Amino acid sequence: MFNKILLLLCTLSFAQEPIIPIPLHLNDVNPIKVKLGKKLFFDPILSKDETVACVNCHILTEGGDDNLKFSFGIDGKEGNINSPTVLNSRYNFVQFWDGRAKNLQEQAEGPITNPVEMGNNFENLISVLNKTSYKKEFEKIYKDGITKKNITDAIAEFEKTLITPNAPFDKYLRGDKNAISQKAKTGYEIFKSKGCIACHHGINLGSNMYARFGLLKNIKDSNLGRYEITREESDKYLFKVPTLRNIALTAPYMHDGRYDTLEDVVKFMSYYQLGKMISDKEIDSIVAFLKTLTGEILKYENK
Amino acid sequence: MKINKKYLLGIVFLFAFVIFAIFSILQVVSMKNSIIEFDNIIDTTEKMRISNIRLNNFITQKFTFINYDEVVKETNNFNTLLENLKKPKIYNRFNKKSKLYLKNIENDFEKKSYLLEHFKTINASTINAVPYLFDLAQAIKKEKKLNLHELNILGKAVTDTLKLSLNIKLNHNILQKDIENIKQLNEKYHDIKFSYLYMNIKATINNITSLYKIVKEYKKINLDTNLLKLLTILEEEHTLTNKKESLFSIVWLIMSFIFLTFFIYIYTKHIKTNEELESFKLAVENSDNSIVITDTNRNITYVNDAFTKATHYDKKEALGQNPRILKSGHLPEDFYKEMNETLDKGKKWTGEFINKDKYGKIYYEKASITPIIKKEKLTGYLAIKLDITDYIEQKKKIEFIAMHDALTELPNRRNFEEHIQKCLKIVQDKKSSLVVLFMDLDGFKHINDTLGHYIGDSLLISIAKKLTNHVSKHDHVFRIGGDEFAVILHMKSEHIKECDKVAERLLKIISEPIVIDSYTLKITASIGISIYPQDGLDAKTLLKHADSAMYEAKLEGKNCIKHYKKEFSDSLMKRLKIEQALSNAFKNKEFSVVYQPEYSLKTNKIVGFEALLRWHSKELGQISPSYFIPVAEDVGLIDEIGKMVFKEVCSNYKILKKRFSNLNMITVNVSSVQLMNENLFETFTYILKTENLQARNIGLEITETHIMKDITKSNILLKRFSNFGFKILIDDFGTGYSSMNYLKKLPIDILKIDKSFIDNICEDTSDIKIVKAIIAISKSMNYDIIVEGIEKKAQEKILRDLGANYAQGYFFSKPKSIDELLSI
Repeated sequence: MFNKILLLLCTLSFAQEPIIPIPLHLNDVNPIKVKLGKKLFFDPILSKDETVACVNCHILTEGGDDNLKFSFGIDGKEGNINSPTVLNSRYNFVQFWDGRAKNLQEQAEGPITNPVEMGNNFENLISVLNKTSYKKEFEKIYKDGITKKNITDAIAEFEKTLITPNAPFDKYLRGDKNAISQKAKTGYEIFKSKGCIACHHGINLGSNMYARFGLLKNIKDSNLGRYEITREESDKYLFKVPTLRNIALTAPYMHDGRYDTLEDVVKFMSYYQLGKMISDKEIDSIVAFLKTLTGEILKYENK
Repeated sequence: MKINKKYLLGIVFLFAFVIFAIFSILQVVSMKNSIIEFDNIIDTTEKMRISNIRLNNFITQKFTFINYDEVVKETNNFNTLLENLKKPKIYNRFNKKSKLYLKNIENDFEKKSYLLEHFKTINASTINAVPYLFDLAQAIKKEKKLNLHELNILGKAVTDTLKLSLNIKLNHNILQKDIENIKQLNEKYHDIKFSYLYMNIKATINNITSLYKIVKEYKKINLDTNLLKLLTILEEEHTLTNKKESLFSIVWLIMSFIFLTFFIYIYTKHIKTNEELESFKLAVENSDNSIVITDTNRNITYVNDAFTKATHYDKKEALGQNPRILKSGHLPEDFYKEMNETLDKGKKWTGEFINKDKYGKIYYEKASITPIIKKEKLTGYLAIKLDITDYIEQKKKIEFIAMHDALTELPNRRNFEEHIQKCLKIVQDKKSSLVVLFMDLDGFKHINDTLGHYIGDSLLISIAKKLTNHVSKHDHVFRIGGDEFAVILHMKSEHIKECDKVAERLLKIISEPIVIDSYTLKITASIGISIYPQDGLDAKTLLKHADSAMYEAKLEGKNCIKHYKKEFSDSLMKRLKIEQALSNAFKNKEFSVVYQPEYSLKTNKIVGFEALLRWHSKELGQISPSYFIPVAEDVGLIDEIGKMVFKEVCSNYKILKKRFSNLNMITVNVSSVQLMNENLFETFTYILKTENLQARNIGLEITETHIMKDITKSNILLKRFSNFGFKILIDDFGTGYSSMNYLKKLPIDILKIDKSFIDNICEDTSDIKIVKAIIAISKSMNYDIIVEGIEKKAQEKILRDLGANYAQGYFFSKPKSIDELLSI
């Protein structure tokens, strides 16, 4: 009897494809806000000493992060967490590794006021911006001119445009069977059968849940993850599951940048997160699959 | 400011109406909004219930793959709905319960999301966990030679895990035992697969247990119940609030209508008042009365058009001025003092002003000034004035006319009396005297009759002028009647005799010839004088006595002055007695006729007699005809007397003819009053016939002045007499102003030259000349002449020399009775 049930359970069937391609066009953003947000994104004026811009740590052409283990803020201060990519961040269910920001707008506040990042405060920032041409630009869009809410709103609006459609895998999903290699296809199957898909699925292959770091086996880590925010025992070591899109470009990996290669990460994940044995061949295939997830940054043009 | 106060209430009502109407509208709008809001809430809540079911649905899919994008989507959806549910302000109008449930829902959802996140985390790791355990167990079974016990342990552990996943209740200890057993096997075999198995079985059991716990926890949360409760409460609250708010809305509406009604009432009243005010304003503006309003300082604040018309000050000039600009100075200060005293007492003052206009022209105003008192406080004065200048001037004119003679413009009799009253006061104070000269022109009536009224009037005017020019400033001349003038002289008592000189001077002035048109008129006057106080103490008496004195002067022979004496008054009394006595004279046969002979100057023989009437009254004694004839004329006895005389003359003619053989005729005096009687001719001729007498034996003597009165009428009658044979004689010829032209038309036979020409004929050559001229004219006209009043031999001689035929007078014979004559 149990065997029959087991057979049922063994058959992993997906009513729908668990991964959804990134849309090719955007029509849900305000172009004027995007323009202003973009200017702010690239402007070091946001930081206390006007040396650090958003783009410093989120280099758009390099996967939306800085390819460093930890980022450097003002006065060369080093942070304690790996920069998550800004690309496709609009699809994250929460922001930051620990999910302390509900959305992009809330997220934008963080780096500006973080002492080791931009080290600024909004009071200062607003008074500085008010002395520049930003004053007029803001007033064009917002009745109340330059405010914390409006600064972060503009930045968030720009970040909403930072999506990477046209990844080979997306093309494959859209029906181009030759868009990815056979090895990648095999890798995708392994990805699903091993259970990676349980956490890395949806439009962003992740970023829609929290997962325990060291699910099967405890890992010593000074970063307690979500617990730092909620102080709930059950939230210990919970981190937002990161996106796998453009994963090939965003080394080093993990919240603390502990691995430099995808193979290492896959191996690590298999053991600690799945508690499953995995062969090198399987790892190769999965990595091949992961590399098909690199897309092209949407060329959003102001209409 | 006070007007504002009046309107303030209206404004307040209007304002209140607007406020309450706005309240009402806002209430309705708010109700409508709240209905929309409420519907939205209901809609949202229903959506949340659906969303909640979807979320619950995810939990039931435990141990299977769930696309968490959908969970995230649903969670976000619910979150959005929750945010929308929290947004409306409607909860503020409901009681706290709804908010409480809202809070519960929020808390529930928070708990739910938290559990859902953990469910997601743990569920993800349970997918494929049990089959994987079976796979591992199978692999281990193949690789390792396990004893039966070990196989059982392995099988039991995996089966227990499966049971657990199928929610078959297992003791916690059994599961722990299974984990412990696998741990021991792992330690025994020290195999990698065993270690994975141990790792997985332990994790799976823990995860599944945790997942059950989470699901249990999750199911405990009655989010849907709370949503339903919220719905129920909102429904109740909404209905209740709606009722309350509808009521409020109606109340506001009613209130607003009440205030609107008040406002309309006040407004219509205001309009009515305004219309009334407009009418009043129109009335005031167009009033013929000057209307002036001043403030308390008596500075003008309003004037109407009539004011401008009266004063010539236009409104701009008048405003701010004190009405004293109109003061003419013709009124005494006391007048204004009395006015101000009245006004200061808050009383209305009425009176007449003599004011001057802008150009200094005097005008008269009848004015009433009323202090304007509002709420016991003086706020100004209202003056209503009527220009009565025309009336005053008219009144003055009338007064002048009433007090003056229209012809000569001299003060009249009434004025005389008033003036005397005034003078008397002064005289009494000064103890001086007052002299009244009463003047009557001699023979004026004759001038008037002969030369016409125009000449008479002109004569009076020039006399008036003469008099006015010749009395001193203090003395006044009055015209009392037709040709009667009076002069009042102020005299010091010691100089009282001076008045004669004044009177004489006036006589002299009057007698100076006056030229009117082509006529040179010579007129005299008679003056009677009465003196205050001895001759009278009041105007009437003084005038009456002066009149009496004048009458005496007339009797004295005119052109003279007479002072009043008590007897004069007596003589008037006498006239009254004459009147009474006359009525009895006939009955008592007190009349008698005497005859004065008319004789020929050549033969000295009697040729005629003039019959003269004599009256010896039993009561009054002998009365002169000059007294009683006018009285008889006045009382209408003259006709009878004349008839009696005529009859007697006729009956005596034959007797006398026998005695005096040269006798030709007897003349009878006929008064002008007799000549007015149309039956006179018939009466006389009838008597003549009965006496069997010839008309040529009777002469009718008519005084010159009498005949001139009505020359045409007299002429007709006289011609009838003359044609019948009567001789017509003009008596007192020379005293009248008859011109020869008139005489020529009359059937005259004889002229009797008046005694006044004869009296001084011996001394005055001018009289001789006149008489000589009369005689010459008479002869040329074929008139006979009888000279009257010859009293001396010398006179007789002169006249005989002048060629007069006949004469009459005391020198020859006094009038004698028939008996005396017959006894000669």
